[in-house]
Amino acid sequence: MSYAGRVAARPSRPRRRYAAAPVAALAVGLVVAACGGDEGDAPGGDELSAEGPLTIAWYGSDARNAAVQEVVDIFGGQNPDLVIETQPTTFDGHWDRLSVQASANNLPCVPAMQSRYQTRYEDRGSLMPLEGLIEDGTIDVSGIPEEVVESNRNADGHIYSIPYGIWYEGAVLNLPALESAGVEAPDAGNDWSGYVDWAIAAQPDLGDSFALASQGGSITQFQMWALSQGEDLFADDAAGFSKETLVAWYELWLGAIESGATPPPEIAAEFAGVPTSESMMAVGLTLVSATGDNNASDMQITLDQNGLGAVSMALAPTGGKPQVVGANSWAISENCTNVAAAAEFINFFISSSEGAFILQTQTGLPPATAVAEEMLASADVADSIKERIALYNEILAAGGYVDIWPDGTQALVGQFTTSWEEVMFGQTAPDAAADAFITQVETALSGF
Amino acid sequence: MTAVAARHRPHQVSHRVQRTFIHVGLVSAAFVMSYPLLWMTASAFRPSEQVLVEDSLWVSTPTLENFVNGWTSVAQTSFGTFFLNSLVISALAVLGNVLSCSLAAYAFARLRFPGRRVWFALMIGTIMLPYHVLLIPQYLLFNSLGWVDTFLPLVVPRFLATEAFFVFLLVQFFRLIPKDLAEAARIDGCGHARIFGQIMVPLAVPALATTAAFSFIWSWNDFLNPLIYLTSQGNYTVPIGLALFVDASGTSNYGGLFAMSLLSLLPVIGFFLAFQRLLLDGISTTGLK
Repeated sequence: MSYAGRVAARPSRPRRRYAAAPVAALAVGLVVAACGGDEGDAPGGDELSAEGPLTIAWYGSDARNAAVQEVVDIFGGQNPDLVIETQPTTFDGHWDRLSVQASANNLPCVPAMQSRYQTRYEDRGSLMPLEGLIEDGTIDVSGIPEEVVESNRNADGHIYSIPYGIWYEGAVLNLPALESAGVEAPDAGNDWSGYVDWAIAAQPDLGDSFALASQGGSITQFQMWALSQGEDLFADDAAGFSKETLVAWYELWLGAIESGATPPPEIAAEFAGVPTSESMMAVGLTLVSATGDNNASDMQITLDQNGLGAVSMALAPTGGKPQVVGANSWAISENCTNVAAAAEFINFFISSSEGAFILQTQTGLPPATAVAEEMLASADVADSIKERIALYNEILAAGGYVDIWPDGTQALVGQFTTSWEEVMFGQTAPDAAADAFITQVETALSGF
Repeated sequence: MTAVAARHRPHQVSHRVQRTFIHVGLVSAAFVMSYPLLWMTASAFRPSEQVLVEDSLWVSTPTLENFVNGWTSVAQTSFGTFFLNSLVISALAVLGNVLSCSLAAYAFARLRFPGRRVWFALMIGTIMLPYHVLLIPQYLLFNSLGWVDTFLPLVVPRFLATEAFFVFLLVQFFRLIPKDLAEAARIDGCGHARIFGQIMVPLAVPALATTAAFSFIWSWNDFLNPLIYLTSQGNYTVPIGLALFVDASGTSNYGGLFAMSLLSLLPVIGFFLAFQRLLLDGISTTGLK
């Protein structure tokens, strides 16, 4: 299916992709750029400011921050006259700091954005529209698949951020452990209902292990379930899924617990919130689960330490429907005084294979096709990374797209988990829990 | 006599048993309360990969590797820099709070000036203002002064008696000091400066020590203010440095985290031990809970 066809086939969702299909949005962007003059217009390369230091802010753990700093240092080495100030911190700290900086119109020139958080900064006018810079070639995104760039287009027609790292959640399977138990792996084309059916059938052969880790509290996996039902997480100003879909989700996992195919609530609660390296899958308690592609290697380290098998990633169980991925991206702030250097830095970061080899996908998979292909061909890149890149290519080929969350919806991640825990422990009936969560979604989308 | 002794013996035995039970109970409770701290200490000396899988306090293969890794693992910045930054900020916060809050407290406790009660009520009222209400206006102010990414936003307010809690604490203490002492000094020709410096301050040492101790601990542990105001890694403080070890977006360094957490406790414990006696005096005389 062509890209346009894939877009047309996607279900309705709130802010971009549907409200602004790529071609129409591009036209809107061009008209807006052509009219010029007003605040929020996308600047072109000939009117770029180039004064002051280049401030760059990003998030991550110490190892990841060190790798990004190394790449920034290479860029600094190529631009010896440029003063670069970096602001690395943790993920949570980054957003706390950015929200205060935005209130004072004091954002760093190049702030890192993320697909679940960026809408707030786009909608409040803190970021610079970039399509003018893209069109005149100042920012070169020609190496990134068009659908990935277009996924970032806001409903207002502007593109505010350029992806520098892609992440996705998929199913993870301990194939050696399944094989030694004489159990066939689940079909990758299943939806979650198919996985649960497989788990119930496989459980008698698995001894003390559980076939499947419950995903009842994962909003990302619920989104995959909603996609498999032809729905989504968010619609224009309401939940993008029906109450029946959510009730069916709760009942699916309650049934899995009842049949013994997933760990009982007291064990699941024990493992709630533990790092991926200590999750049920990592310690061999479950043989199939779901996680982010960047976490699979953490699981593998623990499995290796205990000789408990190997983890393989598969597509998210959407029943063959296109799945969503997330993106870390760079933006340029409205208050940036050195847009020329900011654009140059973004170009360097997304296209530098030297940088990509330093990062080793710690900031996500490289969105530039040429860089990803270079990593696939290199003997210096771990097989696990190559597998993740190959699976991402598969996701993209199947119509996968970057999912940008509406503003104010981040808290739903925790609320969804709490909602499931109440259902799991029998404190709330699935029906009532679904009503309550849909209300929470509507409240989040209403901005209160 | 023998009959009386025999009559008392069972009572003494039961009293001893009762005391033994109480002590065993208290020691057990103390152990439970201090278990997280003991576990963190043990984890600091464990190989990093064992940190999250061991819940016992016994370290079978002790190592100092976490201390070395933790000290050097943050890109381009040694953890020593974070310690130095925290020490500078905390020391200045102590100095600022002790100086400015004691002066403000003396004024509220001993001077008569128009609107004193209103100003005191307003000052007390600021204790009830949630910090988040002030966060953005303060940031706008400090940003317009060009103070972001310097220690000034974390230090200068401490010299302006903005910690109403300490002002209140010292006011209460100054009110306990007999007025006769100040009046005698005034008859001898002392002005307010000498009464404050030579009579009130020496008598208020326990309350000032309490102010100093809490200023140090709060400033040392403060996470949000340094996060907002200090943007360069070279200016980060210990709490921000510790947060960098664990992040959902990448592989976490738990060994380094616990090793550096253990080191970060030492100044606080040292401060408490050094001022322990004065701190207890201050708490008991001001009714601080």
